[in-house]
Amino acid sequence: MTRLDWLQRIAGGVLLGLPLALALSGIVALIGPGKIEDRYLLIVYLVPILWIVILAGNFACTENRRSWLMLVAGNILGFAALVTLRIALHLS
Amino acid sequence: MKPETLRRYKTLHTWTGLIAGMALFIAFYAGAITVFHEAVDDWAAPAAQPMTAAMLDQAPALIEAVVAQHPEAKGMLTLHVDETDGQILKAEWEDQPTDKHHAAWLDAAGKLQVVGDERSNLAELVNQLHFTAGIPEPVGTYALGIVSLLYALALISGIVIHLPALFKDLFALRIGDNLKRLWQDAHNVIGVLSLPFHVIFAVTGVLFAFHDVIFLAMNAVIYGGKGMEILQGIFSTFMPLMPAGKPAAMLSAAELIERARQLAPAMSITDVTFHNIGDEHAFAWVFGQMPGHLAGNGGLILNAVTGEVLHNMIPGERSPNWTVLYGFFSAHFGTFGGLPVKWMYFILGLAGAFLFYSGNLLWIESRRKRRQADQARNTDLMARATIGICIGACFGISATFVAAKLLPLMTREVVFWEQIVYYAVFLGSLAWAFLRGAPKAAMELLYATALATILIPVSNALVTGQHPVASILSGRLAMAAIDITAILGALAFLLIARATRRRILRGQPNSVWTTATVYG
Repeated sequence: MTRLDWLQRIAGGVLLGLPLALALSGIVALIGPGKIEDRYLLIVYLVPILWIVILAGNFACTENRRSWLMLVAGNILGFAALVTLRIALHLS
Repeated sequence: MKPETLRRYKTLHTWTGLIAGMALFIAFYAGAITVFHEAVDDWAAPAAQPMTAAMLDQAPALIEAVVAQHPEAKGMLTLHVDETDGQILKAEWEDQPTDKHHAAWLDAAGKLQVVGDERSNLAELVNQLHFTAGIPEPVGTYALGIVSLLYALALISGIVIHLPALFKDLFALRIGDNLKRLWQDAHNVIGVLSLPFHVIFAVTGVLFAFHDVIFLAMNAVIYGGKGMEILQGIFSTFMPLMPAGKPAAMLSAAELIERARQLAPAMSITDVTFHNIGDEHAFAWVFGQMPGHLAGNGGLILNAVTGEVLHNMIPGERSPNWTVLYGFFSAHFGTFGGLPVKWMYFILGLAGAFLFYSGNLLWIESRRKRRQADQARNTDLMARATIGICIGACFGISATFVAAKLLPLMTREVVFWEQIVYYAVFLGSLAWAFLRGAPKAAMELLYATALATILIPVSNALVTGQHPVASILSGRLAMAAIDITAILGALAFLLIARATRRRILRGQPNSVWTTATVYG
């Protein structure tokens, strides 16, 4: 990979990886067992764990285009699910 | 896995390791020592006539005396009543807004003894190195947050590249002529075996620096603006009451401990922290250790006037949020299994430091030009930086231990001069490494570190008369353990220094570790 390829992977993982980690953690936050506020600190730990996994996993992609595509698609799906859940649970 | 993917993870492992490795070395070496924070603190500045835990009935008099002289301690004052470790009873508080740390006890005549800046701050300085690697705040914490992210990537990529041969080669320690193979094997086995702990360290490291950003993001994205409210709700547990402005008589520490004992008989109480002293809304954290629990630290938050339980933070009884937080905390700090686990964490910390040091040496070694004396500029610079930063930090910390014993004889500004000693030795070592070249500097700095480290027990014996045998006989086992560990550490530095010397004199000639290179 060239230097530009590496920069793209890092940028993708940092900029799109964090929102994706938030969306996925958000789904766990809303549908897990028990009261929503009892899971809060678990979610605080889940966000960086997922972010790290996404950051690292992003380097498994062979092509830059595929990497971006997967991150964008993941974000769209993740946030769609999160927003749907929030509406269903009357949170927004 | 495709060879191309494997190669990419190898590059990722190499570069994240190289960028983050040296800061992590300092964080791990200092972290290993911080496992014994309380013991180091007591080693550095033992109270001349300490009160013992058996004198708990004098605690109200102590608190009254402290508050009379230092009204700022009313807000928050911690009474150490450690039943197990050291048996010392003392009051501690921080000045607002300077955050200056004070400790106090009553002497045999009942007179208040207060120590502040003239008391060594060694344990806190090492703790600071643990979470900033010595980079000044507020940059240090954030820099180490980024370092933690890189560290996490290095961990994952390290596992990915070793996966194919993981179980075949894991316990292979191929001792022989191929020195690089031996170092690689040691690097791999330590990395894989301590991986679960490293994952915990990396995640808590990221959170420690970036929790505020994550709270805000969670608030907006997940909780629709109600996240901060939930967060405040959780943390208000610790501050359940605001001062009412009306005076009231408080229960004594002994009565509060008795109350906690009724509710948690198995808990061994280590400290009682009073808030809003003398106010109608005074409350106290009665905290300690519960044996037999994975995250055994916890306690009760009691109304200090009525004795009513405000919050139950006892392991096994507290809310899910606290179970998570205490779980991660005790997994990070090694506070879940008493002394054996603490020693295990000490060794884990040193092993982690070795991991980063060996990683840099492996990078340098794999770029060695075997057929020419002239080595690449960048490997030579990396060798100098690795020696200067890693050995420099070890040298600096040992020198600061010695300074903690000697400075009180010379100045009242001990806290200030301790910092000067650490940074002067560390930066001096770094400059030395770049001026002298890696091989000479490595050998000289290692010998110097061995000397500074052996001076730790020597200075303690000379200044306080507490040589290890005297410490053991007088029951100060923690102090003896620190001195003996320093003796073993000095021996280890000496052996490494001799090995470095052998390599310079008799190692393979074409390397950054021989003095014959053009940059030497």
